[in-house]
This record gives sequence, structure tokens and C-alpha cells, in this order.
Amino acid sequence: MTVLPIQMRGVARRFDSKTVLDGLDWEVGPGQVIGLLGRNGAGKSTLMECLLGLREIDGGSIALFGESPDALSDATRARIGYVPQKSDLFDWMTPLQMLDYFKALYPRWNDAKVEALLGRWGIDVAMRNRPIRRLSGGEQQRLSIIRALAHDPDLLVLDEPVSALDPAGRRDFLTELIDGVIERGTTVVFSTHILTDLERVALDVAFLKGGRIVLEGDLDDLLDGAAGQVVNGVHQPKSLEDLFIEVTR
Amino acid sequence: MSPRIALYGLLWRAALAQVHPYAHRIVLWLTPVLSLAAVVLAWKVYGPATAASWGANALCSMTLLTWTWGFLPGAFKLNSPANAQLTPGMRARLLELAMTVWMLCIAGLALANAGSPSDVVLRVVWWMVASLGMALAATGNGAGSVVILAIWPLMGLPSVIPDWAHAMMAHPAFLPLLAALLVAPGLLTIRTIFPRAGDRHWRQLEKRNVWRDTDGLRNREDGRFMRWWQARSLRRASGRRDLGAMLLHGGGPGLQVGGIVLGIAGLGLVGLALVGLMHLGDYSRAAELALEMGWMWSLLPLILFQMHTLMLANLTEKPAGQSLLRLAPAMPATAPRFNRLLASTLLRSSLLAWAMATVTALACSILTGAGGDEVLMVASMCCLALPTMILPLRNHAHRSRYNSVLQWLLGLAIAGVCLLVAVVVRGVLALPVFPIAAVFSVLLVVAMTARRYRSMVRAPFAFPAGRLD
Repeated sequence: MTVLPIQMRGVARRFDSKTVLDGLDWEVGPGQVIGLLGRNGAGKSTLMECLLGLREIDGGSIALFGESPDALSDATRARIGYVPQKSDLFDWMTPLQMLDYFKALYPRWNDAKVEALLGRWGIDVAMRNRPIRRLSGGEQQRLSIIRALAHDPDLLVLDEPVSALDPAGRRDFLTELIDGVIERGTTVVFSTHILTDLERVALDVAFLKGGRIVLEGDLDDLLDGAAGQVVNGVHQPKSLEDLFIEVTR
Repeated sequence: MSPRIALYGLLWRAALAQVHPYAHRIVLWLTPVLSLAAVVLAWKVYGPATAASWGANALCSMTLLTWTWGFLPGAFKLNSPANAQLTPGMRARLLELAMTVWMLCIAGLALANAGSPSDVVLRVVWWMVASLGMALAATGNGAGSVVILAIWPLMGLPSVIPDWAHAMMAHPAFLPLLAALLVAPGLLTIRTIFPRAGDRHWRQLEKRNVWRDTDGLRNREDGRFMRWWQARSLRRASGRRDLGAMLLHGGGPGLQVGGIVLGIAGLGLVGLALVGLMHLGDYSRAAELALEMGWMWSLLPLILFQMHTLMLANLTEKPAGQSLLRLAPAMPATAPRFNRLLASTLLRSSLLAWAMATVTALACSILTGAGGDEVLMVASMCCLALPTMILPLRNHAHRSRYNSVLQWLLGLAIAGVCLLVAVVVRGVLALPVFPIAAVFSVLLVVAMTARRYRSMVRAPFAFPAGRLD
């Protein structure tokens, strides 16, 4: 039996009196590429942090590749890549120092991929030896993504990975995601507010509202199913933006 | 109240609020209370004339300190390039306010110390230069640190000034003339602190400095040597997969013990150089001063040790990066194992910094010619500084309930309790206070370290720090 990369059952998480996750059930299968959508403050980052075990949960259970996030084995942790929302990570190191540092912490590390991505994404030799805090927000974010991809993860969790990237940077990232990650069969969960990017990459979307996944499914099916207006007797699919507003309102 | 004065008041409060939300209220209450306390104490001991002088000194010194370390850093933040360029009159009002407060404080200090005329001149000049140096340092200008370092040895200046210079300075016109001359560099300094947008302003903002940032030690931009040292240390830790060292490298900047050890060693070398200069220059007064005060100066490394432990006690600065460490396969997977690794590393780091500070303090006090009693006192003070070592051993998943200053005060309070116990013991057994307090301090630290170490191991996953609030 195939072990699911992500399995969440009745997950609850509160911050003081505010319930952010309210008995959330969610499963993500192997190779699934799923976009997580929700309004600001809906709890997308909290959901991602909880599922990786970076935040405690108040109730329910989570399994990552069948293991509890509280005690993930080394092998399982080596299968996970994560890009947090904040990109100013390890900003006191240089990019090369940061990458060498993480290389020492992972059992497998794809040097060729790192070198290729650094070159393709415009992080030149001068930048590689400059403290990360002196790089622009977009450059820091690219570096954060390279670090997450460097050990060829089987599960990639991306929390608004393209928020600081310009259109060219976003295109480069999406190309890499499609060609280098999704085609390898990697499971990808990512949140973004840039819906056009989501439409290019995600096969599935999940909407988070009121602490639960309120709608989930194949993107095309959801858009077809939510057909809005009728033009010349044919139901026209709604745009993802319309669907987003309707579901999360 | 005139609108201009109301605006000055608003800017003063807003600038202080940048440093701490209650800074203005604290200063407003603390300054008169402490000044009054100085007056009462001096009145009882020396009489009304000295009481007035002490009161004015306390009032002006505290205001000058607030101006330097509270108002100016806050006003520097207020004077962002956008505000400096686009908010009508803001930069001009900040300049006026800064200059006015500075001149009033200097004038107040001069009046309060109007004893021997030549001494007043020297003191006023020293205060003016030192306060401007501190002002530059507090707002991130590298020249400030140079001025601060250069000005301290000049405290012993009166002993080397010839009599004819003293006579010249005693002339009534000398002080006003000199003060007027120093107003020009003062204005230039304040204008440097509050630039009007442009590249220079942005460059100034980009600089991270040990004095300026709230968490300056952690965020400072290291010099070339320190960057080389850190890179070497990081490479070595990664190469050897030394997980403890890697945790400190990844947990946040400035946490590695190497930096603080180098800082303490540097301080020791500066002390050595000063002693050497005094002997070479044959400055008799300065040598006397070193003999009297050298042992106190030699305690400075302990402050660096305490700053290091306070940084280790507050790992909440860079929690986003810490989450990646927790997910890294090489790191311990369960909370107890991870916390044990972190606790051992923090403890080792604190102990090493303390040992280095103690050795430096003892060496400095011996080199300045301190006698056996003074050396014993320094050793006792080193032991009394030890309680801050327990502060990093805590539940890092929660933010500390106390800020760094309160944590430091907690360390001092523990030392105070040890002193109190030693005073009681002296009453009963007639033993010396400081060595007994030192022994109590060490015993207390051993007991508390063991207890806090165990509770840290049992606590939730330490990284990302501060997430449970």
C-alpha cells in the first residue's frame, strides 16, 4: 500500500481565542501538485507549519509519509523540501556558505542542480560571496527555493514562493517547477495569491476557509463545475479569481 | 504652550517610543527621582551646595544619556529618507531639538561643576566631544566608536597639562569661547546624524552597527577580519558536521562563541597596550589611576560575557531559518534529543566565554599592578557574574517573559542575594564578604544549571524559537 505524503485528520490549532484550523481533514497523494488557496489570515502558513511539525497542534493527527511530524526519521526529513514565507533566511551568511551549510546537513545533495540553478537564476559569482542580507528580496527568495530543491525532495512545501519575484523570475521558477520537480513525480503543495501562476502549474486546488478545506479538486473540473454565465446556450467556466472570491467570501 | 514647543515634545516622545514604548514615561519618572535622591544624599553628607551640584549633575547627565542612547537612535529612525525629504519641517525640527537639548545639558553640567575654572573647561570639552562621539555611535556612524575609544584615556588629561595652559583656561572668556567653537562641530555632527535623503542616507541605513540596533550585537555587520573568522568557523563546523556548532551558526548571527572570545581577547590586548603606553610615557597620574581603577577596568570582559549569554538566552530573532534546521535530517529528530544538543552547546559556549573573560580580567588586574586583595576581588566578581550563565537554559519555544535588560537584572539580583547571604555569614563567622559571596554564587549556579538543563530537555522543541506565543 502506498503511503500518503500528507495525511491530516481533525487537525485543530488555536491562537488564543482565534481558531485557525478547526478539525481539518486533508490528504495529499504521491505526485499530486496542489495549490492551497485562502484569504489573508485564513491559516495557510499555519497549516503548512503544522503539517511539517513546525507548530504544535491542539487536536487531531498528522502523518508525513506515514510518520508523526514530532519524530520524523532522518530518511523522511531528507525527502522534504520547504520554502517558508520569509525569504530572509540565514541572511548573515553568504549564499555559498548557506548552501555548503545545508549540504552538510543532508545525506544527498545535487551539486550540479544547485550550480545550474544559481547560473540560470542570475546569482552570479559576486552575489554568491555577498551576505544574503545585501541581496534583493527576489534574489533571497530564489536562493531559498534553490536550497529547498537542492536535495531533490519527494515532497515540496512552498509557502508563497513567488511573492517577491518579478514576472521573469516567476516564469523561471514555474519552468523549473514543471520541468525539474513535477516531472520527477514530486508531490508539491504551494500557496500563492498569484492565481495565473497556479493555473499554469497546479492540477488540483484546495480552498482553506474557516479552518477547514472547504473545496478541493481538479482545477479544470472545479472551474467547469462552477460554470457561471451561459453564452449562446453554453455554460462558460468561471475564472479562478471568481471561484476564489465565491468560495472564500 | 506654543505649537513649536508642543511639536518638540511630540517629536521627543515619538523618538523615545522607537526605542521602547514606555521609554518616555520611564525617563520622565526616573530622572527626577534619581536626581532628587542624589540631592538628598549629598545634602545629608556634604551640605546644600554640594547637593545642588549633585542634583544638577544627575539631572543633566541622565538627560544627556537619554538624548544619546534614546532620543537620537529613535529620531534617526523617524528621519527616514521619505520623512526627511517629504515631511515638511520634520528634519529641521529634529535638528533644532537635538541641538537645544545637547547645549542645555552641556551648559547645565558646566554650571553644576563650576569649581576650579580650568577643570571645568577640561570637563566641558570632554563632555562635548564624548557626547558627540556617543551620538555618532548610537546612530550607527563608525566614527563614533573611534571617538569613544579615543576619548576615554583623555580622562587622565589634567595630570599632563602644563601650568601655563591651566592658567590660560582659567580666564573667564576661555570657556564661552571654546564652547562657542565646539558648537560648530556639534551642529555638523547632528546634521550628519540626520541626513536629507540621498545616497548617503541610504548607505547610513544599510549599515548595521553594534551600538544602533535594538539587537545590534546580533545584527551587526562584522568587519573583514570577523567575517573571515566566521566563514572559517562555519566551514570547519560544516566540514566536521559538528552539530552543536552548526546549531549556533544557523540559530542566528553572532551566537558563535568565537566572536565573543575574540572580543574579550581584543579587550585584554587593549588593556595591555594602555598599560604599556603608561609605562613608556611615564604618565605618573595615569599610572596611579591604573593602580586605583585598573582592577575595575579589568572587569569589562565580564560585560561581554554577560552580553553573550543574553544573546544565547534570546534565540527568537531568526525563527524562520530555525524551522529549516529542525527539518534537516542530520539534526536530532525528537524534542528531548534536539533540546539536549542545544542545551549542551549553549552551556559550553557560556562557560567558555566566562572562562575567557575571567582569565582576561585576572590577567589585566595583575598587569595593572593590583595587589592580592584586588585580584581576589576581581576573582570574586567573576564568580558573581556567573549567574547569567543559567539564562540561556530555558524553554526557547516560548518567548522570554522578560526582555534582555530584565534578564540581566535577574542575573544581578542573584548575585545580590549571594552578597546578602555573605553579609549575614560575615556577621556570624567573621569571614570576608566577597569571597564567600563568590562561593555561594558558584554553588547556586551549579544547582540552578542542573535544574534548568533538565527542564530545557523536557520542554517542547526549542526551534523555531518563540513560536508558542
